Amino acid sequence: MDRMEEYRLLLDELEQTPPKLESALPRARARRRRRRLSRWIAAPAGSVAAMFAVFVLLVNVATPFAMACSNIPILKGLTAAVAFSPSLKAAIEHEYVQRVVQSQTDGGVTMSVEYLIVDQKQVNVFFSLSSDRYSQLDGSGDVYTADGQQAQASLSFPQTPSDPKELRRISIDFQEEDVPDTLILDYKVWAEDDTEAAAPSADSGLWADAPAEPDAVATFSFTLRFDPNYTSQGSQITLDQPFTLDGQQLKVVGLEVYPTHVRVDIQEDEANTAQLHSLDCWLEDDKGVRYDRPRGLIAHGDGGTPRVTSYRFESSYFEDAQHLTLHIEGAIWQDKEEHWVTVDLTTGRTDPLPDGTTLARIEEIDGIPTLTFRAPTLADGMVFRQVVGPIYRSPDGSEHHFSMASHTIALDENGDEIEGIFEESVPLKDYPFDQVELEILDYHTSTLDTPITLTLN
Amino acid sequence: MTEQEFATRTEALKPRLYRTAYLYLGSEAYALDAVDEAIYLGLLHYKRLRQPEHFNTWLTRILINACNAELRRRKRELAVEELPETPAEAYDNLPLKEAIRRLPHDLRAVIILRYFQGLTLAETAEALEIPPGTVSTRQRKALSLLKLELSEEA
Repeated sequence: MDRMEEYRLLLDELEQTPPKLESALPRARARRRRRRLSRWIAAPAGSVAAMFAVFVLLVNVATPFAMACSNIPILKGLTAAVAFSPSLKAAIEHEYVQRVVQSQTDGGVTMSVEYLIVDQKQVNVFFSLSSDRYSQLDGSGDVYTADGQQAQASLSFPQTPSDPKELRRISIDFQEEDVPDTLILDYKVWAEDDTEAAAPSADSGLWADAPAEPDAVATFSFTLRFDPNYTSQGSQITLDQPFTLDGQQLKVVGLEVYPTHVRVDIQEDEANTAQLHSLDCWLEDDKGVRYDRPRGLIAHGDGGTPRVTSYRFESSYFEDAQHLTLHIEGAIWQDKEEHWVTVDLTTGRTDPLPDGTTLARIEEIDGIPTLTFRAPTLADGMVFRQVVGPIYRSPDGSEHHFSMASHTIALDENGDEIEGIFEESVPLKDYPFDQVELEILDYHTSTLDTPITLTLN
Repeated sequence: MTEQEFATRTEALKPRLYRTAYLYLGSEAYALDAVDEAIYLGLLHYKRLRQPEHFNTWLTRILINACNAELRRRKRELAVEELPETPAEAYDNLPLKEAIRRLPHDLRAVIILRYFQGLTLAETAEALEIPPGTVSTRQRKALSLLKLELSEEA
C-alpha cells in the first residue's frame, strides 16, 4: 500500500466519528451551567461567616492507575471514580469500603448508590445514573441528618465522568462535627437530550439566569446508614508548635489523621499584618512517603479569632506512619490592610491597582453594568481567586454587597489563553451612579530559601 | 454572534475538530476530551469574537491550545518521541497515522490543519499565527517526509 492510498484510508477512517461527539455541545452547556451554579454568592453577614471553604474543580481525566485491587472484582468499578485520590485508592486497596446496594427510578432515570467510603469526617458516595431517555445526565444534591436538618457539611461533585457507565462520586466533608450514623442524600438530576444542541437557547448572558436552577428530570432521596466501624475511624492530637514564616507568627495546633485525608490545623497570630491565603507545604512520614495536598477541598477555616485553618493532605492512615513531618516551602499572603480604589464607570479610569491587576472591561451584561478585572493566577494551584472584596461603596457613602461574581480563564482576541491570567467579573446591580469604590484584595507570594520543617508527632 | 449561531457553526465544525484532535493526540478518548474543552471555552467566550467570519480558525486555535495542553500533561504517559526532521527514511516504515504523530510539532500542526481539517493555506496561517510563507515551507517539508504527493496550493 502506498502513502496516498494510506492517506485516503485514513481520511475514510476519520470520517467515522464516535457517537459521543454528538453530545459535545450539550456537555459544554452542562459544564457552563455547573460553573454558573458554583459562582460564589456573597454570604449575608453572620450566617456562614463562621466557616470558609476552598474548592477546586476536579478535572475529569480518566487517568489509569495500577490496578492493585484487580483481584477484588467487586471493587473494580470504583477505580476510575477515585483516579485522582491517592487516599481513596489506598482505602480501596485495603478494602476499606462499605458496600451499599440501593436503587431508585424516577422520570426515566435510575440512580443506584453502590459504595461508601466513610470515616469520622468524610463520606464518599459512589453511585451511577442511567437512563434510556437521556444521553447526558448531571446532578446536584443536599444532605440532611435523620431529623431532617440540613447537615453542616460541604459537598463537592466531581465532574461528570466521560463514560456515563462510570461511577460518580459525591464527597461530603464535615468540618467541626463528626459524620453521623445516618444521612439522607437528596439528589436532583438534570438532563441534556440530544436534540437540544439545535434548539435556540434563551441563555443569553452571564447574570440573567444565575440564581435559577434548571428543572430536574428526576429527584431521589436515599437514606444512608453507616457502619459504625467506619465512622469511628480517625485520630486527633492537640499540638502547640509555634513557628515564624515571612515575619508572621503561626502555630500548629492540631493533627488529625483519617482514612480519607489528614488535617493539619494552623493558627495565625492576631497581631500578624497579613492573613495566610495558602501554604505551599507537604507531609512526609518516617518511611519517607510524601503526602501532598489533595484535589477537591484543600482547606477550611473556623472563621474564629484567632484564625485557625485546617490544611488537608492525602492520608497516611493506611501506611501506619509513626511520625509525620510538615515541610513548608512557601506561602501566599493577603494583606490585612484594605486597598480601596475608585473606578470611574464612564471613563474606566481607576486609582492604581495592585501589581498585575487591571480593569479589563466595563460592559453591560443582561442590562447590568459589569466590571471585569484581570489578575495573575497565584502559585497555589488554584486558577481563580477573589480579586474584588464583597462590599462596594457608592458616592453617596452607602455600602452595597456583591451578590455574585464570575471567574473565567482570560483569552485574547484570537481566543488564545493568556497564560497565568484569569478574569473576575462583578455586577453592579441596580446601581445608578457613575463612580464606585471597590476593595481590591492584594496578595503576595513568598518562596522560602530554606524550607521550614516541623515534626508533628 | 448569538448562541444559536455558535451552536450551528460548532455542530458543523465538530467532525473536523475531532479529526484534528485525534491526529494530534492519537486516541479517541483524548480527542473527545480536547474537543469538549475547546467547545466549552468557545461557549464561554464566543461573544468576544469580533469577526465571526474567523470563527473556524478561532475555534481551531482554541482546540490546538487544548491539544497542546493535553500533550504537555500527558508527556510522560504518551512517551511518543518526535523523530528528527531527517532522515526521511525514519518515517518510511511507520504507518501514516503514526508518522504524522511523530512529525516535529510545527510540521505536524500544518499537515493536520491543511490536509485533515481542510483549512486553506491562509486559514492555517491564521490559526497557527504564522506567515503563509512559513505554512508553505512547513507543509512542503512535511509532505516530503511523509512521502505524500498532495497539492500544495491554497
